[in-house]
Amino acid sequence: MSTHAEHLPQGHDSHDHHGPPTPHYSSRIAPPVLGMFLFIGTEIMLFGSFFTAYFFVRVVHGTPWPPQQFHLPRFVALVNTSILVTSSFTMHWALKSIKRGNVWGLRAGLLLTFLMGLTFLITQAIEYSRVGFNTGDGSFATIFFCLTGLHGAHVFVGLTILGFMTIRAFRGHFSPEHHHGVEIGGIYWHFVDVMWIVVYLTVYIL
Amino acid sequence: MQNPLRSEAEAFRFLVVVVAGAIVVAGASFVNTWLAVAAAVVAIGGVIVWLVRGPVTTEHAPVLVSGTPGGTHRVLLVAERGTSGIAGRIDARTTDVLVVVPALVSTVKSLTGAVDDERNEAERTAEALAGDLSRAGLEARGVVGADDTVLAIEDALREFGADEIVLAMGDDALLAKARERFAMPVSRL
Repeated sequence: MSTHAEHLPQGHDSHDHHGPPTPHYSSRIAPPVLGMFLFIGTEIMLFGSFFTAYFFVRVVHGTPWPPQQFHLPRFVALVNTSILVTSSFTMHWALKSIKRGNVWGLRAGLLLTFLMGLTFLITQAIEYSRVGFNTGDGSFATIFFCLTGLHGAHVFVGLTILGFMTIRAFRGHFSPEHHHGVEIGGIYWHFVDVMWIVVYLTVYIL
Repeated sequence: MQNPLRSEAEAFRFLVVVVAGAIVVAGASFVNTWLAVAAAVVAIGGVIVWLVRGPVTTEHAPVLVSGTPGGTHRVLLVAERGTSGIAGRIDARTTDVLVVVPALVSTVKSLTGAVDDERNEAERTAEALAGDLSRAGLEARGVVGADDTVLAIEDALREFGADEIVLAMGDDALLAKARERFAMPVSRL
């Protein structure tokens, strides 16, 4: 039988193994990390298709951005950006804490990250209600809501993951040796932040 | 090339770099939109160069523990063409050996496909080494590997679950590369 991971139960060998053989695992990239990497690859393609629509509308079609009758809430978006970027720092702090065995640092970091993510989402929802245009008000409005809405959906998914991570952290599921759940969620959260910076620059700034 | 999503730490570092680039673009946008677009293009180019040229820093995963049944120790022996006389230098606890001889060729020969001589010589070496090991009482067979040593090891591991990789070739750089790439003990004869 091939080499397998350390976490298999004691005494587990080829004689008591049922079902398909344990997949050979020669890479130093853990399968969950590889899975997250591939998932994010698909996400980049998804966002890429929306950005293609954005550039088509704005550059090829020459739609004014924003049209004269509309106003983009740049300042609120800047505050929201600051909140989201700060949440990445607390996420990183949470992981650093658990690696050093500081469980309360992990809990505080995850809780703060979750709260800041929630603040971002609520602020975005309020911004939607006050922005003064809707999805049917031309290609500008459609692209605006599609891009920011797609990102908002990702923040929602990230918050769900963060919620589970936080609950698990308070239940004591993570330790300096076993914190893969935090690592994977952290990669996703940073990815969501990076995507927001790109969305913010293209939609609000440029 | 760096993989910015390999770990949380690298994803965070990537985010910080993106934030720095975003500040430059946002600053340029106050002057002129097209200047901001140019800054964005430069920033994206800079990030790509950083990703391609930057040092790869990885947090090493723990070396995996063998799962082979007791009394079995499987070794993947990697040797270069013309190697001989290594049967007596293999660890005494070894029971199974797969000998891999990479068919290393020059770039020109690789591009032109003129690799027959090298592959034949690699095959002869693999058979000779496997024969020596079999005569020493081990379960051994030999195969010819790809024209890249690490790739040859990777291919061999797909069909041979080794507990250990033993290099009978190469320098410290190859040893370090193999240790970085494979999650089992790697040593050199």
